[in-house]
Amino acid sequence: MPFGYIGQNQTKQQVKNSGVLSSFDISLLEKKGEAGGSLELIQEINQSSSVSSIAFTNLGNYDVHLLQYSEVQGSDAELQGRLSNDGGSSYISSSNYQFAMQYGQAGGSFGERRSTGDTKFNRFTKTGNHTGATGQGYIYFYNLLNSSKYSFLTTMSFSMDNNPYGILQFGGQVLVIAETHNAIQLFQNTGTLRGIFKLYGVKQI
Amino acid sequence: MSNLRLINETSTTTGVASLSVTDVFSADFDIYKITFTNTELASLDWVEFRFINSSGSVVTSSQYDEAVLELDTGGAFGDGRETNDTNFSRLIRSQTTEAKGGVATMYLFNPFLSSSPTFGLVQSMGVISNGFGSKGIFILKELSSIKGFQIYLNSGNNINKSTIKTYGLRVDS
Repeated sequence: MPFGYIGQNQTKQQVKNSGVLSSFDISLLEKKGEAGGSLELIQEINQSSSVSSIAFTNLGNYDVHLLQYSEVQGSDAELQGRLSNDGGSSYISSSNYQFAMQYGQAGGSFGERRSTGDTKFNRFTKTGNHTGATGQGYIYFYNLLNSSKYSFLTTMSFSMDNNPYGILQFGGQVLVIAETHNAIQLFQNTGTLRGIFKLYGVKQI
Repeated sequence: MSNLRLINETSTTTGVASLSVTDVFSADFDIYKITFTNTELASLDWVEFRFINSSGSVVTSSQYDEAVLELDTGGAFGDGRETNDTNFSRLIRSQTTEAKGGVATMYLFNPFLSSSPTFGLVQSMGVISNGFGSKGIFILKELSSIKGFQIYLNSGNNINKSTIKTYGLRVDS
């Protein structure tokens, strides 16, 4: 949606104007990709009942995706993920996932988790078995739809464990297969999954 | 509509010694988000980062501090830190092949404001022999108005490919 604000509360933007942009300005901004917001919601999954997994099978056409999740609930479980190369008919489970994650427990220690041969993306967040012990965080995916590049992600989360104490986790992960990955699956390492999940495309020109 | 505003997209697909993004920071925004993708290098290296001031000059004064946790999927994690350095030296650890080109997301705070230092947060992922990521903080302590930035390799080798997108985080006044 192009800009077109009137009055005092103008948004900060790249084109100086008196409150209303001309059709020429709007056309120019749209051509340059500078009109409208740059986080474009692709799909929201509000999963209020417990399921074994959720999936995003429409990734639009972006080179960077942002997946935000909140109120994720499991029972002493870790949120994990896999990618698909066939639109979600199946998900890759070969030992080509690598991760390096740092965690910090408010009531315990800090430490490292790593693997160079996992069968899934690992440890996005960890949720305890208490009511309200939920997980929230974000994942940036890179190159998912690019057939010549590995699919990377960076992630960060904060959640509550069994005690319940807070747990911070962040790190990077990669699926070392250069091919188009066109669906994302999320699931818990044990039990079922609930929560709110929003997938955005980060706009490009 | 989200509060993210695309300001600039800069890329190279041919080898360059440095890649500069100029005139992107202004009084219009206080916080910026920058994504780096497809960063393919002529040699395995750290991609380094410096600011460009309002005069268009690269800031090379010894005013950069950094602390970076190096996240190696195949070995012990490491700490990288510098004080009074001439650059931010650990943006992305990246490789020479297209498939392994590193990625990162950075946030910058108050680059244009001459009365404040410029603060940065960054998280990256790449591949050396195994997956290798980082999460770090850095600061340019110099009080000056910053309008852009530059990436390059300390080795002097080329950046063969990279795409950089700069976004402003809109705040309604």
